[in-house]
Amino acid sequence: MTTYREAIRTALRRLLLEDSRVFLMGEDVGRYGGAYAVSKGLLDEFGEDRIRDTPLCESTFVGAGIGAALGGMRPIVEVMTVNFSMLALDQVVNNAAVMRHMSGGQFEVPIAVRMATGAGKQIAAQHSHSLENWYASIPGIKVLAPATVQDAHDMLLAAVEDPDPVFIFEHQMLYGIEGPFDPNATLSSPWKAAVRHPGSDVSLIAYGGSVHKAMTAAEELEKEGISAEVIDLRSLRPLDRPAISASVSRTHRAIVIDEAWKTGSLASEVSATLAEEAFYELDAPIARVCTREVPIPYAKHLEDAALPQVPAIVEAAKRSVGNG
Amino acid sequence: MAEFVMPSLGADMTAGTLGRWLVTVGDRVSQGDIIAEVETDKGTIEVEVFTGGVIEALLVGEGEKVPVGTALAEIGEAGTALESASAPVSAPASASASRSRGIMTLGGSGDLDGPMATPAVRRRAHELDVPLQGLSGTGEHGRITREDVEQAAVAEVQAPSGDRVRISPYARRLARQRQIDFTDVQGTGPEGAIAARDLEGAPAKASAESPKKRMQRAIAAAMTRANDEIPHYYVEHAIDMGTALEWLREKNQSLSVNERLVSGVLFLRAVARALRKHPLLNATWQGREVIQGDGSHVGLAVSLRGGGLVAPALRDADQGSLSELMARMTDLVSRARAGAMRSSEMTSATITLTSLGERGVESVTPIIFPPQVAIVGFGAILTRPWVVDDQIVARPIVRVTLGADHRVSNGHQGARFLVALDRFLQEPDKL
Amino acid sequence: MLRIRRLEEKSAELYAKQKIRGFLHLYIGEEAVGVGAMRALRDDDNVVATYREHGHALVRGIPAGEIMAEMYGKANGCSGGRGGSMHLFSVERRFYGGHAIVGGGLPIAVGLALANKMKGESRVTACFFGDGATDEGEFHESLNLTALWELPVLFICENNRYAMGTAFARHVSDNDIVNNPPAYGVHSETVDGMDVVAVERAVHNAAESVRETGEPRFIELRTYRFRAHSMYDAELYRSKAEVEEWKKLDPIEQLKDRALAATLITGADIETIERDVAREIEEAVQFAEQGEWESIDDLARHTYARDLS
Repeated sequence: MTTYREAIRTALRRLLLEDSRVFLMGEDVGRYGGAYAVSKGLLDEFGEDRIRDTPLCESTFVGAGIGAALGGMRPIVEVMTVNFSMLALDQVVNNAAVMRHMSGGQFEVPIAVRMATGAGKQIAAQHSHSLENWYASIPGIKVLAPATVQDAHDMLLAAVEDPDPVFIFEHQMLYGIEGPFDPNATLSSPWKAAVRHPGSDVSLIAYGGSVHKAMTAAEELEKEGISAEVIDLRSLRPLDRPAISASVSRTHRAIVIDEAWKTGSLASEVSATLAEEAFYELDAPIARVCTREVPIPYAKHLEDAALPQVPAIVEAAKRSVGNG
Repeated sequence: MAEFVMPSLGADMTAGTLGRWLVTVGDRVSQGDIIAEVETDKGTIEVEVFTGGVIEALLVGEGEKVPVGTALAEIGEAGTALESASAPVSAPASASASRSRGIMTLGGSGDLDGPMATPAVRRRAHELDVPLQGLSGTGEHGRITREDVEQAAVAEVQAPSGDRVRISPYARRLARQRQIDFTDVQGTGPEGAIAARDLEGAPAKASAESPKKRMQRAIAAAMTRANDEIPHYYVEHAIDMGTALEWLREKNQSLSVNERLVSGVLFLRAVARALRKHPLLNATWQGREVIQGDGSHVGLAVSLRGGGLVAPALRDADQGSLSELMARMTDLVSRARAGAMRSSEMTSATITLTSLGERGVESVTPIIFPPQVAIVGFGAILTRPWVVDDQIVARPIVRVTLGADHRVSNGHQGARFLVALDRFLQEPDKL
Repeated sequence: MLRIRRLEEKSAELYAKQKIRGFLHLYIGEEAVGVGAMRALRDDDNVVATYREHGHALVRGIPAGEIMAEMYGKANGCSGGRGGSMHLFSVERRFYGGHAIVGGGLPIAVGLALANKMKGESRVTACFFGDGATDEGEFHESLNLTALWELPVLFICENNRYAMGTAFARHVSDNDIVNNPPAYGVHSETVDGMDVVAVERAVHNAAESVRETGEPRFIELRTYRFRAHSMYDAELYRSKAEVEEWKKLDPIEQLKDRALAATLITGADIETIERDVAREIEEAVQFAEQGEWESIDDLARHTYARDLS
């Protein structure tokens, strides 16, 4: 058993060892060891040239990562949280995503950007939001959300290898989880969704931190005789639409769980996909379990109430199958 | 000679106003000279000329707004002096652009593949829940008219489905595939919706249920329109049915029970014959023109059990023997009640026959089914005092009322139709 | 300089004829900056430019035809018709694009220099931007980061005195941009941007210093655009007299006068140059006219390395 953060670190080490073009930069990735202790120890091993502590200038260090990728490097940029990445959004939207297209295919930006996302630690409205759906709406970049320890490792390897800009969203509640991990396992394609728990009555579609809540909900539903299938989207862009439709074609019911606000969320996108591509498979209305439309509050009971929780998922599933 | 055109002065500019000319005819200009001021949403902008030469004509006057690309001036090569066109000619050519014959075309080219219909007709189609796709238009250039839509709505009444049962898309698909009738299935899904599991044990689809609501809506639409749009006139006539009934009685004696004729078939045949002689009543009103009927197709108003009303056509009702007509009429009525009519029967009538005789009323003042132009109502055949050769005698009398569209015919013609009808009924052996 | 001037005059004409659409930011008046700076750079240096970059691209060696075709939106344009006037690119000429988010190109230049430094290459990354960009946070962040990490970036500020329609004094608190970089420890100087010879000399010296020390430098080139911000505007923000005053400093006329005075060149030479340039521009237009439109079937190309759909 390995932790999520150790799995990422293992991937980082492997990349740094195997490819001299790879380097890591970001706020406090060096001496501090990373805000979530992901890169702890790497500075000592690889030195300041390849483990770079940046000033607090998200726009410019993300932009510099894009420039370094243009210049032939394979940068891994850590942005402390998605909330701070808003300062770099111009570089993402107006440079990383468009460079290949705008230059008629002459230039490419093989950058990997990692950042923490999600709520649950009582760190309030400027450190808790899930904004990965914003990124997932941009053509020209790819977006991954590892939910498991193995994926945390594998997806980073895939992102660095990819010729396009890849953004990895690590849910902050997952860094400490333990799970089975094989550093030498054959890499599965990170762009495909996975069935984490097979079932026949209802599909629980989730990604990142919500996958674990969906798994718990599936176990509870099982006790009540409802067989739930848990789908881990894994890649948020491109979205594995065939896998989503296939699951609902088996279960005919869909609950979409997303820690973002419901309006304009990935849950909306998944729901629209089902309405477009699996309409005649639906035996009940699609339901979305998302975060309430408020900034994430500090107080624990309020934060809990704002976020999608297992009971809400169970209830939505029961309502969907007609036992609610 | 070169043209100086209204330049594009920005990505969002489609037209500009020529504010001021800075040159006059005969002036010599060279490339880069500012020769005019153009007023745009962003302010006044000086515009330069890209060709040198002599201004030969100013084509647009100061203050005129013209689209980008419109010629503003003509510039000739130096030395080719011109005396004409010294003053700006007003009104550029755009206004004379070819004007279509008022044919409604819709929006962008994307619509060209779809059916042609005006927005009002589209809205009507939406109200009546009639899909335009697949409807053949009778209007100009195949355009779908309001009539087409409303007729389709009436025809649609006979079509199966049209249910508004709360059922999931998946269950609906399964029901269709397995030919399951789900109208009486109790739903156990969210908010009582029928889910796939609820279809277990549901009966196979029987003959189509008559979708009452839909029918009611279609009838309401047609009747409202008839009342709103058609200037009805009425002519009434009482007809002595003595001869006809006597003839029927004799005739029926030689026929088996299920072959026997009824007075209704005489009415039907007589109307069909009279219609042949009065083409103004044998027509439909399509938009702004009268379309002549192509036979003698008479609609039969058939009331349905449970309250609906349909009026399928008995085509060529003036043809064949009375026995054949009787058989066809019986067949049509039973099919109408079973909801199994053919589409041609729903659209081809030019006149409708309605008879409330069975109900015992004396006369009926009916409303025309658009786009037909006439309707004939028959009351009950009642024994009434009647004067024959100055003697009051009791005779079987039927009151016949013709309602007709005054845009197409008038009372004089209507009266002649009823008189013709009377004459046919006096000679039943010739029917 | 004459090549740029004539190319752009032709572009303006073609814009009025709607052959060229969208935005068209002309460089007329500022040619000495692009020409002087490009001549001072080496072929293997990197260039990051702005949306007013026709001149830079042309002098850098992108053929006039490919530039014109790009403005037409044709497939034979230097960005395949995907970029247009504001986004000229050439991997061959290490021309990393026209960038149209003011200040957005600076971090890219920082990253290119970082890559070169980490790979041990001795390239200079020349980053062009206007006076407006110095208002942006990325300008200050980039100076700080390049100074902190000792990255070989040559920051070239083309101060044409207007951030679109906002005059320099109305958008910069300290009336002298040149005072900013020293606050980050970056060497800074101001040069007359209307004098092509002075520009070339200064940029050459600065570039060689960056190459040698690996540290960033900053040059402000004071210049002026004779035309509107983008193609046409009502020019409500500046007086005609001011424009006329600057036109007296036309870099092309200045150079002509000096060369004629020094008998380095004759009137006949100038005529020959004009003729050659006219032919080049004519051929460029032909090239653009004859170019193909890319098929709509290929719309999604170049969004990802491999089509995702």
